[in-house]
Amino acid sequence: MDNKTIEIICQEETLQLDYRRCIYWPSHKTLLLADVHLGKDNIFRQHGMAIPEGISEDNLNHIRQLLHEYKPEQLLILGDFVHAVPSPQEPWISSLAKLIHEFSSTVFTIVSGNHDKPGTANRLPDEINWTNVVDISPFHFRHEPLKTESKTSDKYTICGHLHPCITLSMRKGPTIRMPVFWVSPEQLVLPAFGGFTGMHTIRPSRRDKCIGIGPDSLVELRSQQFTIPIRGTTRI
Amino acid sequence: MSTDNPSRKKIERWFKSQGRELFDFQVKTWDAWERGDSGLVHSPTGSGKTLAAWLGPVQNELTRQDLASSAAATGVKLLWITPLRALANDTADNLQNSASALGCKWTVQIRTGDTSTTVRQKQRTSPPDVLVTTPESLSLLLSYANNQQYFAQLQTIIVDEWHELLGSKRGVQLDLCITRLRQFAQARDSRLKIWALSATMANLDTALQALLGDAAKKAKVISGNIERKVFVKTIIPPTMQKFPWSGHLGIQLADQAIDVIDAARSTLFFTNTRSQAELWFETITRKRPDWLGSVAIHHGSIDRKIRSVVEQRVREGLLRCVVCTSSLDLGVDFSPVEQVVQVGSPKGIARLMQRAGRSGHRPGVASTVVCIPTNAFELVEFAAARRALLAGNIEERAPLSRSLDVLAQHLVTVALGSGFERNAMLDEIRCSYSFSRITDAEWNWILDFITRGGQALKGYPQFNRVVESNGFCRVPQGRIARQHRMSIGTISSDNMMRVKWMSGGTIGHIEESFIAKIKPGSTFLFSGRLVELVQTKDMTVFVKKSNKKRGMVPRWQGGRFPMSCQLADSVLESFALWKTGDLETPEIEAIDHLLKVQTAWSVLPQKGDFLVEKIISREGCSHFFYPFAGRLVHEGLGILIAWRLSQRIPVTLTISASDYGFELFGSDNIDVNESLLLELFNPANLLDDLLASLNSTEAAKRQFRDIARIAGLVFQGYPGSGKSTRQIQASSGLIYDVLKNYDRENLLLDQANREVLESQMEFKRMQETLKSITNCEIKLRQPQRLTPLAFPLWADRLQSQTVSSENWRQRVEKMLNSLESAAVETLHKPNNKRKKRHKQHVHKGFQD
Repeated sequence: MDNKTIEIICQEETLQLDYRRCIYWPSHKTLLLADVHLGKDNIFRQHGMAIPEGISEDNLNHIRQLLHEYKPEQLLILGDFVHAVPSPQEPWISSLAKLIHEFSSTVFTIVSGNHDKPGTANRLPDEINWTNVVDISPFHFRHEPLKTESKTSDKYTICGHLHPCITLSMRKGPTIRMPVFWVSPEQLVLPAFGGFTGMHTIRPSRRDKCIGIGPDSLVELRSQQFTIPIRGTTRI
Repeated sequence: MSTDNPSRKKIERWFKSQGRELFDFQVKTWDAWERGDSGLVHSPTGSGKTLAAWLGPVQNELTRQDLASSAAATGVKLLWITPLRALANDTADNLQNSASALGCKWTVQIRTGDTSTTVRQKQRTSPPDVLVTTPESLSLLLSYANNQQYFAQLQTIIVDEWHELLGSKRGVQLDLCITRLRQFAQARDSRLKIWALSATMANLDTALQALLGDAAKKAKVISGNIERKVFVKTIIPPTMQKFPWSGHLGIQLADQAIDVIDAARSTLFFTNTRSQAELWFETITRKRPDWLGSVAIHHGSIDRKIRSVVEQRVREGLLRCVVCTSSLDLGVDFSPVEQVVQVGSPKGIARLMQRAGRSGHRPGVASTVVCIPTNAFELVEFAAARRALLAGNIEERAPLSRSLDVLAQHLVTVALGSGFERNAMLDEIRCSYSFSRITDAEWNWILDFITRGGQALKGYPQFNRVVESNGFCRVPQGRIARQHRMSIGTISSDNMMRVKWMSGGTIGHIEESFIAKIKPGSTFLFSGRLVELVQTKDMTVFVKKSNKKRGMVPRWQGGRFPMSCQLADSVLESFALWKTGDLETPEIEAIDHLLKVQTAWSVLPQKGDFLVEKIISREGCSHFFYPFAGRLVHEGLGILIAWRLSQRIPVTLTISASDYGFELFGSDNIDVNESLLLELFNPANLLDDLLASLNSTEAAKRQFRDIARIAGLVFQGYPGSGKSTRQIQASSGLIYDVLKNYDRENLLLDQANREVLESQMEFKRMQETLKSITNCEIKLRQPQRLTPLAFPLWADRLQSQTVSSENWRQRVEKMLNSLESAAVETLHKPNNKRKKRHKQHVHKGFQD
């Protein structure tokens, strides 16, 4: 068992979770990923912080590899595709155009995230479909998770935005921190795809399931394994 | 020589009128200043160092005032550098008062991070004669365009409490700034007089060099040979049988501590950590509600306004007791303080002396420090510290060198200020102490780093920081300039969140990582009060008063100091003395039975012994090693030995370290014999193996945090601007990973490794430890249960690291399995059972 992918059944649909931080939805031949944050390194450099280049190119190459393997009809990106409105001369824009050209039979759809500011679409290839939400029954795709109180869709939500991760820790000893797919009864949150993105520790509830991501495999975590009490604090 | 000088006479008369004793070292310092010398003055706290350094320049000004008809040229003539901005106010008051009393017309002003923009503006147009400032603010002054002009009248720099800065990156920063000012002076054919004031330490000559760089040759050390009596007393637990073998709170002795506080008019109550301070403050006020209002708490996370109110009240003698951390180690004259209490090991002799000196802050008055142990072995440490103190074995402080992150920051600062030309700048920084031996390759790399972002050949596109045109390096004004000025400094403030009352008013700062762990509605102890978390918003934590009786105590990250060589050696000596039947100190007498248990179950190590204990338990297999070389060395050794072991067998080992030794813990049994031990502790290939083993841990990544901030790789945002800078914020860990993947040759990664080796693991001390182990007699024992020496290591496995030759999957699965069984266990047992079992384990030993 190599556990490079794990299949889950969600709303009676099979979803294939991949350790490369994406989901393949076979019945609709759709590849899902979220939070690529292209051009983040450039923004840092422009602000005087010496971050090496190559990260955005690598992100695109990872997407290329996945498109080769899964050959999806649609690539659906759940927001924060870019980190900020790119300047026209950023080198990765032409690489992106090349990538889209290479996979002309794949539809590129991007759900706008909070980082995909107005004006982003104009700088990127016209082939990309930009939208705010996508509804493909039984799912509702968006960038930010829905707050339970303001639920606007009856459908099961699949989203990104949070960059979810989990820290496994015992009362004693070392900790292991890993990005996760966060699967709750109402929604599924994808981990961040981009190579230069941070993580946010989530607090899953006991009803939730998390699938942790390692360097070359996935591991299923059960709720009692990550709801261990806080350590490192003294109580009075 | 100049005793006929009328201004000197005036000063001497003033001394008499104040009822102050005039010390020889003060006169020597005045004379040396007059001759144009630089140097270092050291003498105990409260013996008059300030006046020694200050009145030389004042005397000169008095003479000038008498002779000259015209007013002096405007401009800063004297810079007074203080390590703490909290000290600036008092220092400035002291300087101004003594100068005015003598008739000197100098104005003294403060320039720190607290100085308002209007005052800053005023200081720029009409500078004061004397400026009291911090290394960070001095650096900031150098980032303004007309700085050379601004310092055109500068004659003297005085660095107060230099020992506090030496050995830290702030010291390196100051070294670079002073080198720059020396350069300015040279350009106008003048020479600065630079004086350091320092407490006693072992390497005063190095301290002098580290401040003066290549100008140290002509400088001199002046010492105030003033005897300062220090009495070290210890509270002996009444029932040693119940006193724990490990722990760091010491609350068991609260009643005795309260008696001690009750007996004196005013007490400074030092703890080693902020959590400890919070706990003790809570305990004292709970046990003595009648003291409410006369007991205060003071630590680095409490809002500065509240802290200064507390300081003011101590000075006025209005407080019975202040529970504090190293935040009150330094500074202001606390003459009303009668005694000092130290909770837990002082870790070093110099620190104990410094703290003791906070009481009886006057020449000729003895200091008393009452020590409260938090675990049994600390009793030995107190006795050992007292013996070392009497013998005068004080630690040294080693200055840092080759801190490329600080250099990168300084170069951007200078480029932002007057700008610089490559070769002239290289010559200049080679005059400093920290970079006197910087190689051409390093210099070229650092220039590339600030101008191109990375190595010359690659160069990062669109990188924008320092621009070189016509051989001159400058920072274009605008966003980068603002961002850099915001980031000047080398003190890392770990993502701190402001803690505010719902009703308004800041109470302090708390680490984001703690808040992330608790939910709204949770109660925690902060600033001496139980507060309830209401919500967090834009880096601010809103709290309200809680009516609950219980809550959590936040744990602040922050350096835990290692025990010094001097103290560790002295502890071993104490063991040896005990073996010869010497029970003369009450501390050793109290711990007698514990040392007997250690001897009976295993061995009580002495100098020349290397004790290794192997214990197999339900949890797995533990090896305990006791080199007695301080926690840092043990952490390093732990990683090294674990790595060497993991090269022989596939294994995951957890390392925990204390000041006495370290533990390697694995779930499977490992057979270690004497010949394998010799192989594992072989001093050969130390550096290579250590570097290799570092890669298997997070140590370098953690060290990189400060480096990334100082070198400008992460930006912490403008204060109060909330979210607007989010898009250029990334964690240093992420940047570390990115650099490792995309720019392996980056010298800052190299620096992270080097810093881990030198400052985190005390590489030299480690080398010596390994060498001495080869000459030791190895004593391998297999006790039936945890010995008194082993227990604290076992109990402290929390702060541990892992070295593994297993892959991610194996490790996660092991962890998941044990989490699973831990979860099952907690389900079946009520919460506090676990604790009780833990305690039983401790006390079993005494019944034998």
